[in-house]
Order: sequence, then structure tokens, then C-alpha cells
Amino acid sequence: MISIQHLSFAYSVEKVVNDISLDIEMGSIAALLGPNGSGKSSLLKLLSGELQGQSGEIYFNGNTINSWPAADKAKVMAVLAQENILEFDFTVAEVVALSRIPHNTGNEVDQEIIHAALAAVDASHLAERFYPQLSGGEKQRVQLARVLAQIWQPSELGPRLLILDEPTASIDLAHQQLLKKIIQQYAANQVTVIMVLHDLNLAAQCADKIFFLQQGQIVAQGTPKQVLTKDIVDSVFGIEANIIDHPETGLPVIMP
Amino acid sequence: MSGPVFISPLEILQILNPFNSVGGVGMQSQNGLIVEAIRLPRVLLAALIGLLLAVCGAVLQGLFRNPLADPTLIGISAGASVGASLAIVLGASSLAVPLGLPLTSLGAFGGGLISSLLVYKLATSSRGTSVSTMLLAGIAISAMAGAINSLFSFFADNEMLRRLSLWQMGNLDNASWEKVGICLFVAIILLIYLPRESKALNAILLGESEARHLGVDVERMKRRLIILTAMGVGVSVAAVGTIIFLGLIIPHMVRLLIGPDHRYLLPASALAGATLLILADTLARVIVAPAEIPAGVVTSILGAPFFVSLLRQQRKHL
Repeated sequence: MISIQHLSFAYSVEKVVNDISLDIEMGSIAALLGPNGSGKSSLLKLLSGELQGQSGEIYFNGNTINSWPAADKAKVMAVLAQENILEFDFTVAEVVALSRIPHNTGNEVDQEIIHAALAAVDASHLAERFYPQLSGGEKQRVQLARVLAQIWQPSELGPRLLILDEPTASIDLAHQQLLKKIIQQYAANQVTVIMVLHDLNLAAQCADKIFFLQQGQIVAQGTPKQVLTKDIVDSVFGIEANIIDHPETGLPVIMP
Repeated sequence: MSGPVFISPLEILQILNPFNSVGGVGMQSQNGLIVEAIRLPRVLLAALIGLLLAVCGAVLQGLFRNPLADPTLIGISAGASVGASLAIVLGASSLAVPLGLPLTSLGAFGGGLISSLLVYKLATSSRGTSVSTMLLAGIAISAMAGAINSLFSFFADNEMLRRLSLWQMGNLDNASWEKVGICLFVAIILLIYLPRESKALNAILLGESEARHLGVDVERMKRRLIILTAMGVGVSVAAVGTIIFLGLIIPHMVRLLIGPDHRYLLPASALAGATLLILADTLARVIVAPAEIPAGVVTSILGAPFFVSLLRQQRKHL
């Protein structure tokens, strides 16, 4: 279980993460939702260890996240950032191959994983293209393949964790559905997925638990059915939303 | 091994063959002397300097995540030259001559280190490296270095001035076995330690946080690479002065041929750098023989248009 207790963080004076406590079950999918500047990405960076909280603790299976050696962490935790800055002419396959740096699984296994990961995000045909020449959405899928490949296999070091910051930002509709399936597959294989999303409907479709953030605090948490209500969505985003039930799945559908 | 005096390849081989010495110790032939005391150290020095600059250029470009990083353009060479001048001015009066080169190298290393740290701190952030800040910081450091060097010349006495100006001319024509030795020493250190960071350099091209998420100890890696490149650039500046653009062109050409993977880029750049500077220096010696142009002039003539074309490609990022 991932457990955050009384975590606070400020870049300068104002706390962007203000006394947050939450629990996430292993092998579940958690979505962080909220308006811009509500502290979602900062919380994600605190979770991945990129930022250090000024007070509070993050426990991963009972151990604090800071006591974890970086080399071990890299074998079980993969992080997809919002933006990517690679400008050197690596081929797509080479970019995905970077994910295997933490592992010593040998070239044969690595190549298998790289190609399987590329196939999973529907990017096999891009394998030999130069990464900087791809479109934004294609780059995003390649980076997704890279983080998937990083934690492709179960590790003896413990349960795996996949952290995604707005994974659907520049991805088209068909590939969003593909991403949803991949995330669910990973969760079914006991990988915990924590992601920041803007698309409430995607969160409704795939999250086990949703956390609503507002001004650095969690204002609502629960299953999609529990928290994707008109009252909560209206108050968090300051809009007038219409919410209906999906005719097939029964999950909430939000129409702003 | 060509130059103003023609020595046939066969004779060179005979001279270099240790079991067939042309004349014993103390009674070497004139051609033997030319090869052993002048041309052989010069070719070796050219190879070593080319190697050092090309490898350091490749590493800096990876570290800055920017293909325009070059020790001369971002001020590391300038910083190194200040350190070297300082060592010459302070050392020339107080220390015996045999300590001269190691001391100059040490000074150049120190100056290079300070300027690398400065440029790195100024130009990089978690979001990447700003090319404009990097190049502007290079201009600032180079200007400052030029001023300090002039100041040294102003205060230096005749003997120091002679040494300073000899050294500042930046040329391979004063090659000696001492220079070869010290450059070889640093080259060996670099060739042992730099390849160990190849994978980390590949990872950091994705970004600093991404490299951290791949288990790379980014801070330790940066410290090591900045120290090692300052050593490489420092010793080459101390030995031959500033040879511009080599650290820029070579890694670029190699990347075009084999891609940006540092596991292959570093050794290939070393080899290509050594080869190119030997060729440039040979060209510099034979074009206007028996006079010669500095090898740095040749690399500049080759490098400047290359740099401008790179700038054009990079314009969108500036």
C-alpha cells in the first residue's frame, strides 16, 4: 500500500501541497483530478521522489520513500513526465531501450521487451524512425512505451508502480482507449497506477479511486460513482456540469 | 610525418625501429633527431589533443543536452587559459622550469573547472539547457578571461611576457615528450572513467528527472564529468593553447554516422578527433612549408562554417 501522511510542500511560501494524507491500494488505479494549479503534478513529483516534502512522509509498503536506493527504485517505479525534451537523433527503439538501463536482463530479453512495449502502444512501425522527427502524440506514445518497458516484468524487489502525468495530453481518441486498456492490464498484474488526468470521463472509465485536489488539499476521494457527482464537480471546477449514467457501464459521464 | 625536410617512410621506420638504431645514443643522424625529437612527439601530441578535445566535446554536449556545447564556445578553454596564465606568471618567478608544464596544466585545470561550473549553473535548469544563456555565458567568460590575460601581460616582466605570448599562440610546434607524457596521462584517465558514464549520459539526454527515474545518480555524474572534462580541456590548453571547434565538429560528424549512443560515440569521437588533428596539423605544416600555419587556424577554417550551419538548424530553440 502507498500511504501519504500529512505531506506538505511549498516552492516558496505558499503551500502547493497542504497537509495531504491518502492511501492507495497496491494494484489499483488512482487518478488525481483538479483544476490547474491545484497541486496534482507537485503531488505526483513528491511521490516519484523528484521533489522532497517539507513535512510529512510517504510510505511505500511500510518504508519511507526516501530510504529507497535510487537503483532499486528504478527497477520497480517508472514515471512518465508531461513534457519531453529529447533532441538528439536516437531512433525510437533506442529511446525505449533506455528504459532497460536499471536492469541486467541481457540484450536478448531487453530487445524482446522493447519490441513488445512498442507493439503495446501501437508504435512498432515507428521503431526505426528518429525520435525528434515524430509528432507530439507519437512521441508521447513512445515515452509511454519506454516507461512500460522499464517495469515490464515483476521484480523481486517488490510491487511495481507506474506514475503518469497527463498521459493522454496529446494522444488521439483511439490511442486513449488503448492507453486505458494498457493501464487496466498493468493493474491486473498488480502494478499500482497513479496518474494525473484532465479528462474526467477517462478517469470515470478506468480509475478505481479518484482524488479531487483543490488549492493543495484533497477535497473529495472515492470511487468514480461516489465522487463524480454534480455537487463535487461543480464546486471543484467552478462550472455547471451535467452528469448522466453511461448506458452500458453505468459509470458517470460528465458533460460540461 | 611529413615536413620541410623530406624523410622517406622507409627511413622513418628504420629510425623508429628500436632494434635497428641509426646511430647510437649521442650520435644520432640529423634525420633521426628530426623524427625523434620533433616530428614523432608532434604527431603524438596532435593525436592526444585531438582525442581529448573531441571526447570532452562529446561529453559536454551530452551533459548540456545540447549539440552546440563546445569547450571553446562556452568559455571553458578561456577559463583554462586564465588559470594557465596565472600559473605561468606566479610560477615562472618562483619555481624551477621542470615544474613549469605540470603547474600550468594544474592552473588550466582549475580555471577550466571554475568556468565549467559557472556556465553549467547559469545555463541549465530542470527543464533543460538554454542555448542562448550557455553561449552568452561563454562570451562573458571569454571576455573576462581575455581581460585578465591582458592584465597579466601588462604586469608581467620580459621573461614572463615571452613565455605567455609563446604559449598563447596556441600551436603544436613546441611539441615535447613532456607534453606528450602529461597529455597521455590525462587521456588515459579520461578513457578509463568517461566510458563508465556512457549509459548515464544516454539517460540524461531524456532530461535530468528522467535520468533520475532510471536510477542515475545525476549529481554525482555531473560532478565527475565536469571535473574530467575540465582536466581534458585544461591539459590541452596548457600544452598547445586553444584549438577551437574541434570539440564541436568531431562529435557531430560521429553522431551523423553512428547515432548519439555514448557507448559508441565516446570511443569513436576519440579516434576521429585524434585523426582529424593529425591531418589538420600535417596540412598546416606542408601547405606553406618550410613555414607553417597553426593547426588551430585550420580547425577554425573548417569549423566556423560548420558551426554557422548548426546554428541555422538550431534557430528554433534559441
